[in-house]
Amino acid sequence: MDSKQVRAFEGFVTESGDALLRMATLLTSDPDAAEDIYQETLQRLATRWSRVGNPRAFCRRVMHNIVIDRARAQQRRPRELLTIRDSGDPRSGDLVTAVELRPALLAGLGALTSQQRAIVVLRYFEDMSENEVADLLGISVGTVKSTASRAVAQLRVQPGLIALFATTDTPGTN
Amino acid sequence: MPGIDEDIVRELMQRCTDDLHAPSAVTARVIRRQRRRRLRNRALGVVATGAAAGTAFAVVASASGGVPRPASGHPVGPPALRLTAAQTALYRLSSAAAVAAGRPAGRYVEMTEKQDGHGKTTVIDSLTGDIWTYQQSAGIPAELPVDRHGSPTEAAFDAMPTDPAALRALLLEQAKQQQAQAIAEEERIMAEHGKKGSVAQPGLSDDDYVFDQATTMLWNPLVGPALRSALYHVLAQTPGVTVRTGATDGLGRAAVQISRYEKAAAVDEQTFEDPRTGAVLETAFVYRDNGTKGTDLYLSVKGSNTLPPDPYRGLPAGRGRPAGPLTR
Repeated sequence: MDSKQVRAFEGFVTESGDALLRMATLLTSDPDAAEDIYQETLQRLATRWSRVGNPRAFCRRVMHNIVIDRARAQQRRPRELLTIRDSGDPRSGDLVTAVELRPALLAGLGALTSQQRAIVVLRYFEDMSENEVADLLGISVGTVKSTASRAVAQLRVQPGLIALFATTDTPGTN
Repeated sequence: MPGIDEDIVRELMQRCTDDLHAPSAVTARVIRRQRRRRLRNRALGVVATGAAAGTAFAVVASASGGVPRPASGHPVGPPALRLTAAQTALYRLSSAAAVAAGRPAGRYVEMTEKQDGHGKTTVIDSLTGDIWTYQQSAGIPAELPVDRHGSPTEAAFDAMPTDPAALRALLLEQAKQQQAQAIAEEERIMAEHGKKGSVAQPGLSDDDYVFDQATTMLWNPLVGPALRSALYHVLAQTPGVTVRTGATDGLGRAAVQISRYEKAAAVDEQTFEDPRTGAVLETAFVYRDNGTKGTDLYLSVKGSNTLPPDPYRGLPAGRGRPAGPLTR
């Protein structure tokens, strides 16, 4: 890295760090693990910075790979259960309510398979197209569509989130 | 909230994570690591005055007991200093470096290496310190912008003290100035992105800084035998340095491994030296918490009086190169 590249790297991290940590949190459904993965992703990015054309895309791929690797390593361990509490009406839209919903969301994401979780996060949090997700994960567009659909259906019935989705089942409401 | 399930999921994920912010400590650690790699090219940006170096020398020499000398004849006065195995190995490297062939002839020094498995060639102009970097690559920058005055010149290296204590003082002064510049620059970048706050000091000890600077300087092929020899003396007197003789680098070449653990970043810094010449064969770092590793394997160093072309593309002169051949 020369001095300009170091500045560019710093600028990228300053600008994208929060978003990367949030993505890691959603991909892992574990805030502590997310911080580790965020750091590891940045380290890998830094060592290859001059060779990476699209840092954000690189980070997405790296994060996904790390999460998959860790999931494989932890397969033998029982999943820790997250405590979920009723947060009242989640449709009010204010930040406090949304933050209170986080345990339920993370528990819901944590109940998905690694691939389902990756597809949901990339598709809906990172706003990637189905084609982009398919390319990144090395799967077909059809698999992205069907997996996303099943994952969202599973989230709909996640305790703590049911009320949030209830409106879409009621004709005449948005 | 939107009415479509996918939109609900989208908004839920955004809102549920809005309050999460990347810890600045993590970012600072990673950025510091990158600055360190870059600083290999900038082994000295500060010229210490003789007075400053002399003052520091007195303090350091007093603290360390001076440079150990081989005992001769019958002991008189204070007992002879007992060298540790690590110090002995480093003094051997120092001796080897002092009589090694030294810098390759020619204005330009071309060094090829493998950085994290990829080909990389660095060309340094010994007169100006300009650095050209070429990379073996596919779909990525094959040539980096010329780093003007990115390295000290050969003359600047030659002007540095070779007394170990004075050299240590110089390295320390340089490191602290570089650190201050780095922090100021990071704060400027944060401000550019509309982020408030200050960048914390990395919490490094003087010995951390000295090891960092000394191993960084050893990387530079413009460093001559006397200075290289002195740098090994500095390392020999730096606490926490471990040495493994009979080691091999990533290519299986016989090497002396010099390592030090930097607690603030939880990283093991390693450098592998050629036991016959004291030349650097490999530098590496390994994060203890997650095993992330970076390696730079040095393959060859040669000199020439004309600017070498990009070895990977074989193209004629690129941007930023002098118009024609130059002689020393």
